[in-house]
Amino acid sequence: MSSLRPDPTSRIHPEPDVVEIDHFDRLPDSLLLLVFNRIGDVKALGRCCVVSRRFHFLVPQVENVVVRVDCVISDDDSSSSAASSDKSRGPFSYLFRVVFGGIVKPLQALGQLLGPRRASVSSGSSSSSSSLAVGSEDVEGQQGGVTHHSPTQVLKNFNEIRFLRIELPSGELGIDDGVLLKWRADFGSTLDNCVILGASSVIHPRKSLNSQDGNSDALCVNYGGDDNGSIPDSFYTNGGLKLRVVWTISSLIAASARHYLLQPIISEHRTLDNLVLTDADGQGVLYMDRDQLEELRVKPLSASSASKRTLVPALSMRLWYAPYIELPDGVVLKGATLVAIRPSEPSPMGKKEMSDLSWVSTAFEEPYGTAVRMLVKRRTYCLEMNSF
Amino acid sequence: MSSPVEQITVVSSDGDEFKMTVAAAMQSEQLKQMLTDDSISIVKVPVENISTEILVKVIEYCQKHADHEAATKANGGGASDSEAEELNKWDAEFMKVDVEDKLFHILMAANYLEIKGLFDLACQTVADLIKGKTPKQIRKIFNLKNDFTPEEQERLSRQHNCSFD
Repeated sequence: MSSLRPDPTSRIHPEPDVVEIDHFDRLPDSLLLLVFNRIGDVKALGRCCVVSRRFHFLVPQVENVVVRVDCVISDDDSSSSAASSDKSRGPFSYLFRVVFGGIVKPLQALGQLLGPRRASVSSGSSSSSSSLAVGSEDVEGQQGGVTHHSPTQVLKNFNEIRFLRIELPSGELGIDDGVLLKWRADFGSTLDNCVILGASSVIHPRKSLNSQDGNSDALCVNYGGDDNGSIPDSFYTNGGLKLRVVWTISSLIAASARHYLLQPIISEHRTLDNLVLTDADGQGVLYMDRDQLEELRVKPLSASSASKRTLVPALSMRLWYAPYIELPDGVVLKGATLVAIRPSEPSPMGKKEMSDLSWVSTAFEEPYGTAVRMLVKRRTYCLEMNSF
Repeated sequence: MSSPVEQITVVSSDGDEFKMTVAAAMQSEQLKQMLTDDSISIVKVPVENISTEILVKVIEYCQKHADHEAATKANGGGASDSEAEELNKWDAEFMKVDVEDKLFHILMAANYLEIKGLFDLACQTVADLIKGKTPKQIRKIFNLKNDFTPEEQERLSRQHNCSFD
């Protein structure tokens, strides 16, 4: 609530005699800012900038901004893809594509710097690198096409952002229908922690449920008689383990690529308290709080050598598996896997002990939060991974 | 020793008096402070800044939300989803007011009386009116003047990459 009150001697009542009243005139700046802070969408705020001088003065003070990225402009399809593609894609990405095949969409489109590029008309110009783009309306006189700006450019107008949320149009990881894969990663200068939840298949309840279903009480069903939480032996031979490794690595790559992209925005906006980079599919979320943002400004990230992403440090991982989980809303997860990841070296901030798993249970919203809490009760498997 | 108060009277800037139940009045932090302060015995509260027309609306909001809270408590705890949904619908209908006449007045009245729910609702309503509109439409809805010079318009429309219309 605003502590600034309007002048008490001015009366708040409609004045039917006056025709042309500027309604916003009645609002003090602090109240108008509160309204602007509820708009969120950066494009709407951009339009507010050109409404009037007063709006133009106030919009840069908005604290709460949401940027919806419209598209990831990939390298030109028109120009020879071989030539331009090699230029921007590191050997690792190539290797990644070969090894992991159809599981993961090429990440090169995402892995480009958000530089202070001039706005370019997407149709017709040959962009030499791919980037995230926030489309904007046609400027009068421009021939067709939508001009694109990088999120960095679009945010240049704002000086006091505290809460920034950026939404990619879709998750980076291409997964088959019916497969569940979600990740949440917290970063400072480097990865602080990451939680990954996956399931080889997700079955939604049919509308007409058989009310005599005897399993309605059991949430975690004995499947094949093994209920000590162990991973069945077949898992290691039927490709189950390989799939989970792929999920883990590709999620970490997506997360570290996102983190790398954010550098210019973070260094420019020092008033940030909270930064969230998510996607419209709800596949992956990257979080940075005030301390983490400051850490990145003070201690720049280490980039991975070949590709445009942050170096992932050596990791300690815990994995849990359940062949069959039924969630309270009836959704069934088969081959459910939870992976909790932290760097092997404790961070200087020394926040959390590996034994304390509260950060894992709060990683995802319902209904997946419940799935996580069920999975952590099962047998824990520990893994180590080298930096990459 | 003041006896328990069940109703208070609020007086609009036009001099009209309205009775409010205590429960409704408690929706306003300002009024709540007065009511819970035993050293003050309240008979009539003048709200100088708020006209009759607006005060009626504000009281209506407070009463509805007070009733909702009481019903929720009676049901022993959290409101069910459908009840919350119904209240939201009521709020949405409630805010369908003339921008010209009432919207801003309600916003400022809610700010003055510190009625958080109504204040948030009014702010969000104004924000929603702005979202998705062109600058010209925004000016029209709120009767704003385009006070930029032509040179400024030229420069700004390039900078923000949107037309002034």
